[in-house]
Amino acid sequence: MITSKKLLGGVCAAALAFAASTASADTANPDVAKVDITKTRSIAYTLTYLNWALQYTADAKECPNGFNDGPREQFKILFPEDGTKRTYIDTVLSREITGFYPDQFKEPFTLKQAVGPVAPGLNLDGKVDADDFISPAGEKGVDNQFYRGLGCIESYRGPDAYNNFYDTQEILEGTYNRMLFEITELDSLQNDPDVVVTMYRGTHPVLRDASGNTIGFKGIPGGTEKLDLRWGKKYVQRYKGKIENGVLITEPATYTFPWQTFGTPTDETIYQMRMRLDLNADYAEGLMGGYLDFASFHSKNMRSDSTHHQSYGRLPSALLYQTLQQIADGPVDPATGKRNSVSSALVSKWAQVYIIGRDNKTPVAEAPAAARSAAGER
Amino acid sequence: MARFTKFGIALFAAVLAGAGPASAADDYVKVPVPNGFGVQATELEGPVFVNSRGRTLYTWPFARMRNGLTGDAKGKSNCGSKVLTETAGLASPWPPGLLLPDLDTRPACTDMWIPELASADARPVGAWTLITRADGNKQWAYNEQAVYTSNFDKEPGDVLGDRGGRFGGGGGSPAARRPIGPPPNVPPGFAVRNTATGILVTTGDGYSLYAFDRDTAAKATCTGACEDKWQPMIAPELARPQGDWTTVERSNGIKQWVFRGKPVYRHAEDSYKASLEGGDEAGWQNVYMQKAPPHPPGLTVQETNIGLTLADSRGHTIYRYNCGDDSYDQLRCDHPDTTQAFRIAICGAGSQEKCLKTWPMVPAPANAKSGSRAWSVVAIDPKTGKYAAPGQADAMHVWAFRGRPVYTYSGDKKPGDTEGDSFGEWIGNRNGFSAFFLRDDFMNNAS
Repeated sequence: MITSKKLLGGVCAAALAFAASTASADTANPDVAKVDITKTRSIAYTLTYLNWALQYTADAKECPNGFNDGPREQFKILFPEDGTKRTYIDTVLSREITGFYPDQFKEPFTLKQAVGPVAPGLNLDGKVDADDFISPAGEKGVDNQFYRGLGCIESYRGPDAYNNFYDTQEILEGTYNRMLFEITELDSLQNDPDVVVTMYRGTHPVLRDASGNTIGFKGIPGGTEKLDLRWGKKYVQRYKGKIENGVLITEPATYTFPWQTFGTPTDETIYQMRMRLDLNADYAEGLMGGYLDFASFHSKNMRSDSTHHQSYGRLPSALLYQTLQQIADGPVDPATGKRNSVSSALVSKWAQVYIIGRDNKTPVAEAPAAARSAAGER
Repeated sequence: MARFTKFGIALFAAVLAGAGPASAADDYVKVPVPNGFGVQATELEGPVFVNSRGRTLYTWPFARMRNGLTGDAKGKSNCGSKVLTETAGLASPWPPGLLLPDLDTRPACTDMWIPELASADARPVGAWTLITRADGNKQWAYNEQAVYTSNFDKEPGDVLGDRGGRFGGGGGSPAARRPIGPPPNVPPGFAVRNTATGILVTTGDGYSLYAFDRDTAAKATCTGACEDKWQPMIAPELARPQGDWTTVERSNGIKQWVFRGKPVYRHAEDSYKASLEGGDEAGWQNVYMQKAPPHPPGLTVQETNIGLTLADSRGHTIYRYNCGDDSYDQLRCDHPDTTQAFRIAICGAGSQEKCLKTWPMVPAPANAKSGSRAWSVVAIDPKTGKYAAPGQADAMHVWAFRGRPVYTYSGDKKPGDTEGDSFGEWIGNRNGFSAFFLRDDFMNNAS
């Protein structure tokens, strides 16, 4: 069996170095009172880190053609400083329109895609296809076509890239992105064939140490969370799962989650999302794989990040969107006959929390079968 | 103080009382104003300074933009009479030197922001001083900032010059003009903040004040364990009544501030400044200096994933369009009287016809009346997006806020969707749309 720990093991050199400086998920914190699951039959974890799972090396071998241009560079190519007097409408607004209406205006560029056989992720369809990757740990059949699109965009090449930094900062400092999950009907964190995982949005910030640090984006276990059951109702989502050898594995189902960076209430959706998380009493850590609705990803970038912020990390949003349309491998939307999602994976870190202030009104999420079928099954 | 005209202030307050809240006269500190100037109660901004014709006065403070500075430095006006034709490149990531749209009808800064000129014998009074414009004319300044009126304001009490609220003021957003007014009449340690639901009274560091239904001016009933959650705003021993503010004795020698007959508290569990969270508790209310006027009949309020938004009769989120050009003048382009080129680019990819489908304006029923000045019904030419000609047969009658039409977004499929929020240049602030949030528990409250 391939555990998520093995899958994570080779996500990237930089991430490994980073992780090595922090406590591992297996390291119990002796100062924190542990949840006694024999009494609670449940445990909860709050999100402390979330970023796309990419393969990147220090010398960027996966990007033999270099990194992609962003809005500024594209503008200079399209409108060179040759003395021509140009209008704001024909230049700036033309570029903004292409970003906001990417289905209507074809970009005159080609995206530099990541190449190579290795990428982190999960085998989503149970098959080993020609365009699948091999995970850094050697698992075949990894579905992560999103990596091809994102892998040569500086903005996502961690650990200090622009989007990696701000996306995680907002998770830590804000509450809009504050997702948490609770495992119930739980008998063992080591092996349990039948558990229920429910996603919620919380309202409390991540617990930090006395100097304000989050210890490698892991947070401090033992904090509290209050469930946002008013504004966050749409994020209450339930999944069936099991725990095998300390790894939480959930069944595929749609996951919609809040993800904003600059004060815009944007969401992203992943179809057939399944979790592979290493668990212990303090932390959960691992991959969340599924088919990303890339329109929701694009909308988040255009609205929450703006062209200005996309320029920081040379993110060519419209070109990326149009490329994802070409390499999409998600289910075919029966309404349009097109694929609107692409295989992807997220690296996630979670810290144990106690849910407080709940009452008997806490809703039970609908089983997400309807959403799953709406996205189409493979 | 010789030029201070108490009469002037009283006159405006009395004549214009019908335009604002009944208690407006106690809302602000009476400060000296130039002869003929006064204070006008307004629905959204509270008391503002007005000139002798009742026109709202504005300043344009220096703003730090993404790529430089614009606005007025203290003691100087940068709003000139020359028509600027090119962008300044202040709004990253785009370069300067690009030709602005509709140059044949483009106004100069002073066409839109009329300098409030002073007579030759005018003298400084209080915070009001005089600056000399480039053409030699004297212009009034308040706190050393040059003062203007807006070409958008047509009647006393209009505050239509800028979009208002949290938008604008630098960064990637347009450098905004702000209406100016007298200081709020609050004791030391308190402040006010303008939000979408009204002018909140807050602590000095911005946290909301609350009042309890069971309290009276003579008795504060929240004691004991109640105080763990609701912190009484303790008044100094020597505190004296001030305007609408009095005190009540909680226990021996301990005084609590009282505003308009209700002891005031801070909610310990508020998670952000200017919060409305405490008002969710039974019996507790946010404290306002004045509440925003009601929205028009037929519009609704919907829950979203961050709070409450104004919505149409179907429950679909209502949006406001924001636009300020990237010239050094930073002229507004979000009004039907201005160029529509920016709006049509963003809402319809260059097509007004597509705009009407993608971002339809919110229709107003026949003979609809808003009940406030902030909201109005305007006639729009569907072919241009500008105000329709009088009697134009195909004019669309739509709801407008601050004289600007409001919209819904075709990408929203159900009540509570806000897929159009921040759609456009610079998260919708430079040239784009923002949801009409009435409450926002996650970002910066709706303001």
